[in-house]
Amino acid sequence: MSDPVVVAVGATKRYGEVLGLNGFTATFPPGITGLVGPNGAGKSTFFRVLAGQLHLDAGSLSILGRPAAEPVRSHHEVGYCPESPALYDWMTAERFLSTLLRLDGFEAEEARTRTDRALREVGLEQVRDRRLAGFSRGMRQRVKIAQALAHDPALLLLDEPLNALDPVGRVRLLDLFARLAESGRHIIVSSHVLYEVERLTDQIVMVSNGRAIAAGDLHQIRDLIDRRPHTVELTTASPRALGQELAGWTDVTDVSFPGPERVVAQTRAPDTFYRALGELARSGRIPVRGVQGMDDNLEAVFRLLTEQP
Amino acid sequence: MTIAAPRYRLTSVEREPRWKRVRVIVLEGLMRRLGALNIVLLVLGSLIVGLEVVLFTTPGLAQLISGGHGVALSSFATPYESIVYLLLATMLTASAGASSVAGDVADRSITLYLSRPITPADYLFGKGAAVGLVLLIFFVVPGIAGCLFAFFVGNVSITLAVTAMGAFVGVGLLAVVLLTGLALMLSSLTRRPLFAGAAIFGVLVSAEILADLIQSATGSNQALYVSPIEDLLAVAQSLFGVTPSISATGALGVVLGIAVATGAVAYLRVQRVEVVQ
Repeated sequence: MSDPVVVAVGATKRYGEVLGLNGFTATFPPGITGLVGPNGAGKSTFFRVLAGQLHLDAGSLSILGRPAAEPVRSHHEVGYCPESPALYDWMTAERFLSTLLRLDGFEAEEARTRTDRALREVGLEQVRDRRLAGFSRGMRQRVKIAQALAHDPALLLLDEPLNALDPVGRVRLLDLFARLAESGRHIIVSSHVLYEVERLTDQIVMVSNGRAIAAGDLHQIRDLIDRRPHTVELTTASPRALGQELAGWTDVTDVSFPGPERVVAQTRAPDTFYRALGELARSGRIPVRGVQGMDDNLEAVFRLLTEQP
Repeated sequence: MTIAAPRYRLTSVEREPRWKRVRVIVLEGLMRRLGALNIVLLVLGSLIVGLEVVLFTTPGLAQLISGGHGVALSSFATPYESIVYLLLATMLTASAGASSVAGDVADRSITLYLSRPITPADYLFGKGAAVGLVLLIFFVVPGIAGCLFAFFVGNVSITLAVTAMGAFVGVGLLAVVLLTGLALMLSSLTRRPLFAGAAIFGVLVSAEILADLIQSATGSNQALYVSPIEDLLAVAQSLFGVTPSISATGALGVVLGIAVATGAVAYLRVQRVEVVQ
């Protein structure tokens, strides 16, 4: 297995009495990893610590094998797109990117070339001479992404990168991130809009209250939670008969009827449940027209892990 | 709007040395600090220095003003003895230095600096150099121009002109170190540039008022050490051949002590600066 890109061990960050990170422990493998969790879960704090903008109170973080406390060495290889819309508003888009590239240590000609390319990549080449103060939120978002990738970093930290973008822009940037990953970049991308992350990767770290509550492949995480109640919606012409049947199964904890021809069952053992359901369908005793696992998306997994209703 | 697919290669590009990265911070900082207000203050300061040097070093005029004495090194010290000039210097320090760190924290653009391969020391040095350059223009350039004027137009000897230039450079550098350190420290202690500006102006002016009050009450010149401006004035007077009210060596020690202490506090603050949204 390849070396991890980022390793966090017991990372703790306090804001006074509030814990931004609370013993955050996780390993981020190569490729794209989604950092998912609700607002205030600690995603941005984690990114800002990685970017060297916040200092840990306890624990440790390493980026590409180096301690995160070595910003000069790490930052050549890290591109950070912060959630905050802060830019140097008095500059034009071109000068802004060029200045940051000079701060990265690129000589003037190289900085110009990279500025051109980055502006092209995010679709801002037409407004390169406009001052950033006049940019819309979506345009500012794209400038932030451009500055994060312009210096060709090995690792991109993208904090809610799709905020304020229109649907077309979102799709195109998701495509851009996927291509960056294909070309060997590692990306850690956060979002509280779970379907966006789901479109990018199956590799996720779920965070809640400053802690990593689950990490790994989305399907593996689902396996981990299979011991917990799992909700399945069944479509049938005989809901009463199916409900009675399901209620008799040992691992089914709840049966409800949310609508005509629909039965929702909750089970503690999905594997056993699906096996028994297959046998029931094959027997033909009760016709079942449709089966929909209601926990098949990231949102549901997250709800289960955080025990939200 | 189109977004083209990137074609990346993992290549290693030679990076420029650290000092060139710092130079970018200096130049950007300098550009921001050359706004309308600071330009006005620079022009006013230059006018005062220019006017006083011309008045006190032009033959005839100098003798008229100084009661028959000729042009001497002390003739060039007059700007530093002008309350208006020192007030302008204080205002320029507050105006140019207030936002140096606080402004970046306030608009959170410091996050972009800190995500680059620069250390807190690089950042602080770059910011300090930008403020310092503005102050250097104020303190040194008009003085040197005045000395050249005195040499070419006022028939001042080359020895006197060069000595006066050296004094302007010496005092100017000392003023820059003192005021930049103070400005950086106070700017790093708040995220509101307005507060930082008020603090810079307030500290310098209130220290001056306090020194005067204590001096009046006790009759002792030792009280003047309390004011950084009086300390600077004492060193300037000494360099320009005027006997200061307090020991120039002691005043120099106080100025350098303040510069080192404020610089250290600013460094420690920037090292620990965190941007919490």
